[in-house]
Amino acid sequence: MIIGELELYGTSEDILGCIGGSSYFPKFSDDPFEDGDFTGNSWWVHYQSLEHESIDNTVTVRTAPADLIISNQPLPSDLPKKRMVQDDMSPKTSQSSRKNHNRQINNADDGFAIAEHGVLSRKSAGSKKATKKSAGNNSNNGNNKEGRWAEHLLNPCAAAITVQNPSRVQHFLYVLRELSSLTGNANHRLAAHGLHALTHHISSSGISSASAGGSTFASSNPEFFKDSLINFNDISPWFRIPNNIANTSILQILAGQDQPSNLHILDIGGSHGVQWPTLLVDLSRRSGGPPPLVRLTVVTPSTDSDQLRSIPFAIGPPNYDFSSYLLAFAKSNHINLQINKLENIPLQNLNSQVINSSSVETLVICAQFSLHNLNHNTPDERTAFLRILKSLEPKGVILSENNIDCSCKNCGDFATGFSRRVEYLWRFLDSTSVAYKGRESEERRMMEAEAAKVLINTGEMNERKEKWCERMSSAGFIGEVLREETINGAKALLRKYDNNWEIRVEEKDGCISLWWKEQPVSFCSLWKIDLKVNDN
Amino acid sequence: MAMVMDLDFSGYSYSTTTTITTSTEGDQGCNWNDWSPVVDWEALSGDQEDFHYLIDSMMDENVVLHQPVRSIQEGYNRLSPDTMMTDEESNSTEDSKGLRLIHLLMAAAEALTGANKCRELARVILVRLKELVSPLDGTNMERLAAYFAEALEGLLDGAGGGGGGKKLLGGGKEEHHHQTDVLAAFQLLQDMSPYVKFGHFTANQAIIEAVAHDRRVHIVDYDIMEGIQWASLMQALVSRKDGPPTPHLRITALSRSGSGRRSFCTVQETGRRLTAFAASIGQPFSFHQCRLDADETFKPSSLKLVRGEALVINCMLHLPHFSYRASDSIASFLTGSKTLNPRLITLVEEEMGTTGETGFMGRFMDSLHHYSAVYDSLEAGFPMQGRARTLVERVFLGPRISGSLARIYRARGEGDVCSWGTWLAMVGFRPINISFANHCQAKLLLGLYDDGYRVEELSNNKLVLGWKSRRLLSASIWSSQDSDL
Repeated sequence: MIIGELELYGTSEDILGCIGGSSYFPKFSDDPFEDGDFTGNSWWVHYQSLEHESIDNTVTVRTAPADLIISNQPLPSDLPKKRMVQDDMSPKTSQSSRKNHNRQINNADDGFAIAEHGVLSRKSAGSKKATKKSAGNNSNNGNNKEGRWAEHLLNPCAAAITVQNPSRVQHFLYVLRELSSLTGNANHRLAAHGLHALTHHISSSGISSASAGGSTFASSNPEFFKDSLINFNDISPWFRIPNNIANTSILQILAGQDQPSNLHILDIGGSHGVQWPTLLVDLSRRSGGPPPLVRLTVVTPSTDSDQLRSIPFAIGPPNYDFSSYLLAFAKSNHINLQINKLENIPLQNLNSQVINSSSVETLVICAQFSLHNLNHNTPDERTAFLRILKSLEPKGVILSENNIDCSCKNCGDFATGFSRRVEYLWRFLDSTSVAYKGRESEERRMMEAEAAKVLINTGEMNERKEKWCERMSSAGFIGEVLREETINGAKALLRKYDNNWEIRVEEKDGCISLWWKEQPVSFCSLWKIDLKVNDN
Repeated sequence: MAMVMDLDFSGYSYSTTTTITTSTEGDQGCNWNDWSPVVDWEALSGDQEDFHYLIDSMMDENVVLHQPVRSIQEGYNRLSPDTMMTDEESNSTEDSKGLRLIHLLMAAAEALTGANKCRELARVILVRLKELVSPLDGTNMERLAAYFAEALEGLLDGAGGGGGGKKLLGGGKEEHHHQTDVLAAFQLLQDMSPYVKFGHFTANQAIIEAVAHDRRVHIVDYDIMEGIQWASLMQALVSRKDGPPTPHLRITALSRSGSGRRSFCTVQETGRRLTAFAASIGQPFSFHQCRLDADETFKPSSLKLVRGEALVINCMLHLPHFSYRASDSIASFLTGSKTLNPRLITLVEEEMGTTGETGFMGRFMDSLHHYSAVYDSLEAGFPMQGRARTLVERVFLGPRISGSLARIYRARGEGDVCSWGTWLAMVGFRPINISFANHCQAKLLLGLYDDGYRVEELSNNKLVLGWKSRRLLSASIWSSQDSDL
């Protein structure tokens, strides 16, 4: 046990009393680190403690996934030993032993067949060499094409579909079927999701479920959903880092204002509320205290359209409402919070009136991973929307997006598009596999099923960050350099996660990008209205 | 397992540059009726409703075919959404499993060598295959798939070193079989099928005809094994009614150092046995050995020749002759023989498909086709004796498959691998006609076995033994150009 943890749990117990309980208790029993008293209804507190560890450089807190189902495979034998290693009691050591731990898991992260384990570990001998600092030490073969065998079936199959070669397609479908497994390693899962997507594509009447994995966000239990998200953020920086950077940037914008004012955040993101507790805490700790009023306007996509249903991570369970939790949390942190939900309003209809903005408040728009569903062909809804954002006169816009190429029909044939999506999903599955340490759980399956929607989401039109930056500029924004603090904070937070993750900062555009095994995943950027540009 | 034989591979065109072809380049629309061994893909081009069902049925583990059909194409064309489970359900799931296995094998072979090479993929597929099959039980297809998977795994493991070195026997691990096992397997093979006797009888008949007026005959045998071929030759010579007295028969057997492990008797033992047998029937006989070096280069000068004898070269390369001898060894033997001006060369070899495939994949599929026919034919011979068949498979077929694949693998990208018969023709040997009597004898022989076997005469100097539509073995007769027949 890491000593610092006990203290932390002691703190959380005090605050527990302020927050209403929930009947849902996640079970952490499988994790030796866990203190048995930790209860799920204090998830805000838990979150708080997580967020601040990186700043305080104290302990790392491990939580086990809620419904942990240990796979049949024995855990790598070095796992318990690594956890017990305590060279000295400095926090840094605990983090680095954790890093070693992750690296070991990387090597052995192959929950499917011991035979494969043998192969992979032979090939991953490179991991034993000295690591480059956070430069994506390629401890697992998963980065190069050799170890990514699922794509060697999925991509040729997509190509065969594109050139209409039925016998080849048939052949690949047979083989994919044999090798698909939603409980195997990342490759097996990719094969399963990919197979589902391919058959969905060629079968015109459409397969009813949008996902091979069954339960997705929309069909999950709200408590389970919430806990899964929280836990996921704890083990993977996929959303966490962008959220973190966004929050820090909001603070940066606020600090840059001349006089104290209310804060109005327009949230066009899919964090399902998970992003905001940390911000609230940070606001409460500001010198000078939090703004007198914090307004959060959340734009939620309408759940009706089929297309929306196929957007990964966009839609939560129908009766999921984070407002009450967030409000209670704000209250306990002495923040005056108002939440306004705009539901079923198309993005194009946003204007100052709709969001009820006023000139005395600091409006910050936070657009995370939502805008790539706007059409970038004709009509160019995307640029039009960015102009609308400008017309709202925000003091700052935070734009975070996937940093990959588009897969839409206009940008390439089916095979090209599909291979891009598959590659993207591979990064998610691979990093998630590492995050869950190769263990199977309902939670993991749900996250992966959500991510797998990317394979059938025809509305998605990603762009590389360079293109996004171009668009923002042409819409009348100017890039704002993210402060050292923000960057360092994000990097410090990233250390908590597997060392195949990497943050890169681009000098010329000031964006922060997140990379997994030297492949781009996402980027975050901060924008202000370019006063030199006249908006016609 | 008829499915494999009739599986139409025309849709798979494996060239070395691309693994994808369109069957209808330049056509207005896609004419789906041209092909499908598996599914009625007509639906793909037009009305896609049926396709949904087809995909569903593919996805459904309980996919049902109609009655076991000889042709997969037939079967799937009749597939409809409302197919009811029939009494032949077990056969149907068998067929569908067989199909899955074939696809897996193809994918593994392709992952090893195709344009889209990925060794990890090959490994994963082989792991999966091994979960599904065992060499000891299951259907023909399953056992065959097990051996093929093992052979591929051998390639995968050995392939890392890049291009096999010269091995005496084809790549892959050689098992050391018990002497009794090999003996038993050999006996079974002879009983179950005409493979052994077909080659021997055809060769012997040609030899007898060729040396009708000779007083001395010298036979050089590439791989004598237990010598049973010569026992029947001697009997035939001794019992010739009209004609000259029994000629003196001399046999020189090539022997190899260190290859004793594969045979259940040494060349010396064979020699002793033949000598004793000859004595017992009054056949003038002498036996010699010709030892080959480790690299199996044949030196004609090391043969002891006698003036006035009719020289016959006997080269048996088929089942049950163990594995593939390294091509170099055979080539060296045949080339060396040419310098001796033999009266006759008898060659029996496996007949591989003449699809003109030059790539690994094409030959791989052909090989699969070939051995599936062999398995079927053995089953016909001993339908209820599963254990007997698995013994023969283990002792002879498994290693043969490994050797065959290793040979194909090594030859990939090198252009056409031709048969030894073709090679003999190219090198300048003259084909000799198969006599009518010889052909009749073959037919009579086959008449003793399952009527799935057939014999046909090809290019005048070759008799080919086949099972149903697949050619399996060929026995051909040649002569050196300068010699007199």
